[in-house]
Amino acid sequence: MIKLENLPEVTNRALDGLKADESLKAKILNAAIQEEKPYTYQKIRHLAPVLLSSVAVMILCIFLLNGKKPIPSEEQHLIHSFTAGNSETSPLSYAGIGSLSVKSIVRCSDGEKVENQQVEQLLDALKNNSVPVSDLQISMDDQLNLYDSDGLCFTVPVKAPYIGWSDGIRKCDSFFELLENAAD
Amino acid sequence: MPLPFDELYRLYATDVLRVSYYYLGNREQAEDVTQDVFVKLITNQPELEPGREKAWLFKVALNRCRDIWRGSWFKKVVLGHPAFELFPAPDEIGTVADQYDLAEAVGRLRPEFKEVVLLFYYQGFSVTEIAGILGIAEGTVSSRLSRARNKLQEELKGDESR
Repeated sequence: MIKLENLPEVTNRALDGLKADESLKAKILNAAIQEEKPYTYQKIRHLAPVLLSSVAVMILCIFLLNGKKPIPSEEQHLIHSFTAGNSETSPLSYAGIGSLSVKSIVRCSDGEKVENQQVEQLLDALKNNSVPVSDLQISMDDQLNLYDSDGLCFTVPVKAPYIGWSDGIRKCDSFFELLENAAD
Repeated sequence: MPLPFDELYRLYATDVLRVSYYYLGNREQAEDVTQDVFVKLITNQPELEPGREKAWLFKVALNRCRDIWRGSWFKKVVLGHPAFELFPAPDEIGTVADQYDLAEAVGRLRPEFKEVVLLFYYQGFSVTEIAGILGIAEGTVSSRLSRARNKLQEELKGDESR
């Protein structure tokens, strides 16, 4: 009986006519050349879902942001405030509230001027959030007109829902809350 | 420095072809497997450590053989007719009768036994190397070799008694 140890000899004899010859080599080289192209395509095809997803996300972002003007870099500290149901008020720079040069603040409800001391307190409150609103003797029902040095007037209802954004969107119940958030 | 394709083909292509043929019992399929293995070598350009090229080639070849073997078409059409044809050299034709028994018996082994027998006895890989090529434990390789030997012994004894 032929032993397993003789398998190489047996097999080599038995399959001596079965050889990897030059024709098979030529077939392999041809196939490799054909394969190179699909291989590149395969890589692209593999990446296709990722690319399509990225395009889809970009399109979605365009739709979501449609109509909302991106904040230019120079306006990064501006807070565009809105009162509910009203159009946008003039943008106020709360980060640089000192440059607003508020000359006077008038309560619109009764046309009464706010005392100078209260203006300073209010400015402090606006700048540093250092004075509690309750100390300002300003009613939450008041509507304030803020005049700057150029005479421009900013009408600010105290008690109104505001939506403002600088780094992100914030919804606030009052003008002061908006300022507090803006000071963060 | 990795061996170039020409050198690897010269050294191992016939062995890959013959082992594939042993595994599948079909010359065309064996040539296809050999082609796939070397095409993969060219296109993928794997980083092979010197001395590990042969193991890589057989690993890819046996994986490909297994895929074909598992194919339902192959099982239905080829497995039903496992003709193990010999390709002797012209001057060896008269001596093939005694070789046929062993070759055919190995060819009839189940794939998991056949591959360890071919790698160990025919290609001279060690048990550790076979474990690496097939992705199985060394103990499993030894156990399969032992069972394959017993099976072959039974088969060849049966042939002798006929």
